[in-house]
Amino acid sequence: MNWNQDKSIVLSLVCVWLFALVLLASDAAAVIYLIGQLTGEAPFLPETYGIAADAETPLLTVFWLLFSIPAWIALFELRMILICFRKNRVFEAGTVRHMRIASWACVGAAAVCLAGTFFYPGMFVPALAAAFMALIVRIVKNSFEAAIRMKDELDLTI
Amino acid sequence: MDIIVNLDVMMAKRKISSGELAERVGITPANLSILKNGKAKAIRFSTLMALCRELQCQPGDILEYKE
Repeated sequence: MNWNQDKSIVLSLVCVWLFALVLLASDAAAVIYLIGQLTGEAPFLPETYGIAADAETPLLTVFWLLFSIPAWIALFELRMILICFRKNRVFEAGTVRHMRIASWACVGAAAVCLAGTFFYPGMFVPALAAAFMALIVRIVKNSFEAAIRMKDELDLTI
Repeated sequence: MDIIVNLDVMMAKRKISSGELAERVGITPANLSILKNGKAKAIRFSTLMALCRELQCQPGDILEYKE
């Protein structure tokens, strides 16, 4: 198989789109479920379809919707980073800015999950995962900043 | 504290144009301009050697340390 860098970036972009589709579907399901809870209308309630809901489910659904906000931001920034890579704009200030925003989005997601821990202790695991992800993105961002400084110096060496 | 590049002074003394010097030294006119304007962060020994050779001068004639 003729594998190259461009195909790898395309695969990453496809993965970002897949994640976005899953997030969109889950957000839509969450909204439909919450409408059912608020209005009490049978077509919107999962019980109508034989799906058992726990007492924490409405609250968890709200937390899921809150969590999806930073998740959307992170996915958008990942897409922007990949587009920059595709245009060969790798070591540029714009790429670092997208990484910084993605990192803070992960921190936001971790904060939402951490808040949810008070109501559902199991949310500590995604909170930890999101915080760890933020740390990784931040370290990669720091590496890029250092690389940009080195590149600038190299570019101005005559 | 700064390193001042007196390339333009030496070029005026030797009556040589930027384009000609760039061609003789083997660097682009854009890079020579960066060097002349003091925007360069570093200079290679090979470039400095070529500049000294073409301008018939010493490195100290091109570079100056000012406090």
